[in-house]
Amino acid sequence: MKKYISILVSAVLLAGCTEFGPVFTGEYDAPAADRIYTDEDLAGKECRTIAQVKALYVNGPVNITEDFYIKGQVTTSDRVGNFYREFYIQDETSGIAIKAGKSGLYNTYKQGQWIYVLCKGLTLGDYEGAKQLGLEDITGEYETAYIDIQMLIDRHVLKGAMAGPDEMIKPIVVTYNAEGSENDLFLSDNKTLNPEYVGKLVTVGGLKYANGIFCMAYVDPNQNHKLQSNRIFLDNPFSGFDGGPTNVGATLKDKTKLRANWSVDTWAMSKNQFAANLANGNFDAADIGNGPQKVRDKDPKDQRVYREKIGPSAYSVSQYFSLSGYGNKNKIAVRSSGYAKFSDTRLPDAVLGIRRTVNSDGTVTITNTTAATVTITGVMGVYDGEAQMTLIDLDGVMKDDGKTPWYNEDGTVNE
Amino acid sequence: MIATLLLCLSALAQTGMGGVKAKVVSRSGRVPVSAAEVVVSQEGEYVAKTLSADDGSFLVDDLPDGDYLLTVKANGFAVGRVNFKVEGYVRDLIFVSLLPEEVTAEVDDASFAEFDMDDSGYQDVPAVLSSSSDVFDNIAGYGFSQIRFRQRGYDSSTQDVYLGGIRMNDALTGYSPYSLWSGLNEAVRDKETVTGVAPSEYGIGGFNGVSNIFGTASMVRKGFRFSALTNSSYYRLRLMGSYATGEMDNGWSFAANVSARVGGNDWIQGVYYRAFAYYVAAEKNWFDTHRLSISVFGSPVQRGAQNGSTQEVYDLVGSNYYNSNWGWQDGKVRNARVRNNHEPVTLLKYRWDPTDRLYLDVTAVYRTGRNGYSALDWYDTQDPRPDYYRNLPSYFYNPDPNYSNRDQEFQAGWAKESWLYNYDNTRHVNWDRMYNVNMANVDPDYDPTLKRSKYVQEERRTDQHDVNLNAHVKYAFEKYFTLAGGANFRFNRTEYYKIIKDLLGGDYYVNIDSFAERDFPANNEAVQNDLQYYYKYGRPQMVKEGDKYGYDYYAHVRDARLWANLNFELGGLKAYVAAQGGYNTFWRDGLVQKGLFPENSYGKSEKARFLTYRAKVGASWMTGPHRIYANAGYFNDAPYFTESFVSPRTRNTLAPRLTTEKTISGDINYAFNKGGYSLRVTGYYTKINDQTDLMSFYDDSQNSFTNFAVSGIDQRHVGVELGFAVPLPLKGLSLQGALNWGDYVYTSTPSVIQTIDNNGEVVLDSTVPYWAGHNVYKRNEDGSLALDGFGDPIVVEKKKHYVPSSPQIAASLGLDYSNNYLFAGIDFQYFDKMYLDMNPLYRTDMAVNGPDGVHTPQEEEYMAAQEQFPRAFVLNANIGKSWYIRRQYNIGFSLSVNNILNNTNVRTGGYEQTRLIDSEDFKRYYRFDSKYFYMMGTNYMLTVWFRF
Repeated sequence: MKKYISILVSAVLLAGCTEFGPVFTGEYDAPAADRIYTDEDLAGKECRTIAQVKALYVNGPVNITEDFYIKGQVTTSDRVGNFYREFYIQDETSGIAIKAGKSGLYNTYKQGQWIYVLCKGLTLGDYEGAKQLGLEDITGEYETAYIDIQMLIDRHVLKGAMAGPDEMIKPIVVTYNAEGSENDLFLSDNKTLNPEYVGKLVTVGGLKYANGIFCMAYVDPNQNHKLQSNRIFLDNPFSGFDGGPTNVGATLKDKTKLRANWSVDTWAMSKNQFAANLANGNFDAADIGNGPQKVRDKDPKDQRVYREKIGPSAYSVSQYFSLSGYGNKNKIAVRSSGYAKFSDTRLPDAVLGIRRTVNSDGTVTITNTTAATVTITGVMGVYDGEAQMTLIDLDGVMKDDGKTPWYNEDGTVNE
Repeated sequence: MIATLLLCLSALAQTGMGGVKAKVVSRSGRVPVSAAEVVVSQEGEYVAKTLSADDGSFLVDDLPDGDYLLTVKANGFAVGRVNFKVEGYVRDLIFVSLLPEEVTAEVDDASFAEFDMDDSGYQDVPAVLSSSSDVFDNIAGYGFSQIRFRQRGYDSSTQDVYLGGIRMNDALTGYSPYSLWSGLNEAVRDKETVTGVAPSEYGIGGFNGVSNIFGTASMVRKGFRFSALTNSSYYRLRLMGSYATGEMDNGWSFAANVSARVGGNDWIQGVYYRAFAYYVAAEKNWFDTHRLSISVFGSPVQRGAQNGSTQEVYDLVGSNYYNSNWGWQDGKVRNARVRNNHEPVTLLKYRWDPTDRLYLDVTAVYRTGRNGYSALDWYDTQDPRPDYYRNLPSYFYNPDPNYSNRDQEFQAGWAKESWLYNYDNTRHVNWDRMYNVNMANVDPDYDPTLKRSKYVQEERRTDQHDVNLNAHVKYAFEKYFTLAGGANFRFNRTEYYKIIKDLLGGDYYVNIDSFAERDFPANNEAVQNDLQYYYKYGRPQMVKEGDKYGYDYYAHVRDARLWANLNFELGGLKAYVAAQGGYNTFWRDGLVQKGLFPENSYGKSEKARFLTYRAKVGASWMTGPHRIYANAGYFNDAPYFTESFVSPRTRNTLAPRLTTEKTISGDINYAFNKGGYSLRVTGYYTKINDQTDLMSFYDDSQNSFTNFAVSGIDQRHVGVELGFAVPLPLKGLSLQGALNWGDYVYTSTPSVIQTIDNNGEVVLDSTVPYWAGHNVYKRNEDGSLALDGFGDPIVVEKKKHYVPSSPQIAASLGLDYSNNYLFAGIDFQYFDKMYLDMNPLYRTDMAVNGPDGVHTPQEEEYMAAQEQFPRAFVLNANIGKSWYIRRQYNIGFSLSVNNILNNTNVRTGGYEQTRLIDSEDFKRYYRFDSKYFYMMGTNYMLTVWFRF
């Protein structure tokens, strides 16, 4: 018997300790905090400014083979979902997107936190005028691909110190239509966006709602997005883009007049919001591809009305604002994702330049008023040569004074 | 009144005298067993007792005519039971053969741990097969357990398991209740078992047998018994002790059994046991007329669970036993998925024997306690599972260019690299990362001074209050007939909820529904898990460790049954008719108001009500060593709670088209037993109709989390069982074999209703046309489709789809040796016709036809096909020996080694994922890879014991 017991005991000991960890204690000490890198940790490595790195880009993506790093502070957050799989960092010289590729990046990289990016092995590329650091896209479809592999992210993107309350990046307040002034959004031709601001946190004031949107939706979101016949352009088919709410002739199912923004007065459209707009007939007059069929027509293939067969999905929307004094040409788009938490939040009525009156029968009459101006803070980008801003969250929408937010914390409008 | 009548009837009993004699032998090789305790009882009442002589023979005479039960107990052997009848002479049973106990009986319920298929919406709970003296049942019960063989292919919920005469199958799922007494092998060793359609003494049973565990103090083996066990496949060490007094002169019996099971195993990292068990029982017998017993037992068990992965992951890791559930923390292995159960059971039984021919008992069983299963939960952050599909090379690259967005070969290479070399513990749960996210996350919207957890470990609880009341009466008529009957009532209230088990370094977690938030980002009410809390406090609850969150509801079940069984016996002919009628009702009672379904989540749901009934008839004829018997039954059973609500965690909606399951089943058998030769051949046929299935999964074509309610699933099981034992010339040696040749197929085109989980909208109301099979099309020599004269493809075969989760063909051939307390055996096993669980989504027109809605033969053959696992060969051996010291102390050991050929490629189960991959040409879908579980490689189990 003793022999067996000793055999057993030795067998148990031989089996090693790992399997008995949870058996006998079940207690685990909390892990140590992640390592915070400092400049000393990277001593001996070359440090470059973001502007220097962006200057490497001449014509086409650049695979970085030199061993250097950049250091910047995180300016964006994907918490509300308007940024996705990437974040921006910024130093005194410029800002750049890091295409990390994961969701929920704000959990790891906090706004204001110092970040070191070891650039060797990454690729510098351009997307619509914005510079990005990612991996080489061997398919050639884009100039960079998402880094995406956790091991690579952890080896290229090192976390530094958190910023104190006074050390947060302050957005650059830009001006325009003031030739030769400091911080002019445009170059001296008054047309070309100053590339210095692209990728940076910027505040633009004095914006007026231009009553126009751009949104590309699809008949079947699970079908080919490149197919013209699958596309629905919600852009500016009407005159009066500039002039506030306009009667454009089309009427909704409830006989109210369609407005030039397709009655899309939210920052973007979640799946449910899109479905609601579609069902209301807001998109009835939109072309399917290049036409001639419109959303209200029947698909000649199956004789089903497009409005009833279109599969809803969440869509990004660009809401246009005009830069007073620049005429029709220079507008600024504020583009928001249909997956952002504020996607279905309406622009304030005062910003839209309308007043809603509830009638005795419960219907709502919309009348035009003078639109209030807004000040927008977000990351400056380019789309089609035009300025396009991306909000980090609704705190970036402020009144004319550039301080008072248009929205309360619960998302309601701060009248 | 009735009792008086029965008493009068019994007084008329005839009084002839006779007896019984036989020789007690071990089954393998007819080796005499001496000093076996032979007890004759009638209607559960002790009549006579003797010991077998050195040559194994015994004689009990002076028995009045009637039916008796002979119970034979001998050290080292399983208890043998034989029913016999005395009709005025000494009946010679010739042999009573006993089955060696130790080499077979140490199968633990651990081997029946269910697969962790939480992600899939499937359940896979294996059946626990019982041992008996039947050669086939014995081999199938223990020898086939490692491949998760299910007798006749039936689901575990069809196997009725009774405790003290009360059916203990889970009230909500029907699953076998073995986990309630895991680790109490001594206390529950004594049981009676019938297989197939045959009725039992304790109830009419279903079509997959009945096992009744006695569980009372007097039925536990007398004396002290201690054992130590080590094995390499479940847990490292088990220590067990038991003591029972047997029935003492004063009529009392006491029994106790305790055990501990601890440690991990050789094959699957992260799986461990920290399990204990206790059993105490007392019983009092007054004048052999009244008998009152109470037993209390429980198994507090903590057990790390295993998870299935895709073959891609297994290949990257280089092992089919990779487990994605664990990671390193504090230098120790920590498993995210831990079962933590303790469900004590109390059994109270009273039995009254007013006359020799009548007895009556009433029994109550109460089950309560906790049943927890932990998992990771997270909010708006990265999926923490290491083998999440976006972390794998296949997510980045597929050589087929038509796979959409699978063209990043560069990333695929890096992903592969980090898996192959386990850089930064890529293969494991990263606890450090989760803690760091939590520790660095302060959300001023809730509290600027506290850390808001984004990752937590939750514990899903299923806490039952299960009360069973049972009355059972049996009366033997003067001649030919015996009538048994009973009534039982079940009350079950189970609370389903989850709690925060560990905040992982944070201070609180916010009780909102992240899935709802995805669809209703701006709707503060819709995202609430507890709307009333939100209305009261203006924000969702900040939950702490131990707090309930997520969902919380009661499942209520009430079940009442009345049954009767009339037996007829004349000479070698026996026959019976049995019937049962019942009423079953269940409902959901929501304890929180869900933001998505404010009108339909709080309070009671509609009650589902079903009338149930069962009927059976059978006959057997025995002449000499031959016995022919047959059974047939029809069953109309209520569906279980867990398959009846569309989304019980969120709302009160009952599944559409809910109806009873209808089963017709029959078997015909021939058995031969003589001179150590033993044979049984059985043919069986079962048709199960109108089954339902419910799953919830993310549907890529809807871009939503959806519920899939499938109804009208029919299946047909037909097959042959064969078991035999042949003595060989060497004394104690015999050849034993078992074969099951089955064909279990789906036979219907089920209906399906698919709803969006977040709003209940019906998006699909259709059928699952490829569920029961799909077409295989004719090919030309170059592999292209052959077309007929009209240009249509030619169907060459309608390929059937099979019932999964068990080999349909299982065979075993082995040598068994037993002589002079030495047992040894070796057997070779073969398994075939094993299939993967199908998900109904892949068998819909939507998935087969693809986004263009156009059916092609290639799509059908790809999407609708069912995977068949490769056949498997397994070699096992065992040896055991025991010694008697001064005829009083018994020590011994047994060692079994399974899968000696170390075959590590035997798939025993798995499931299909429910996701679809788009194609570049938007004409078709591709599947996600399936996940698998594998049979363990070479493993051993060594037991040593000491008894007195």
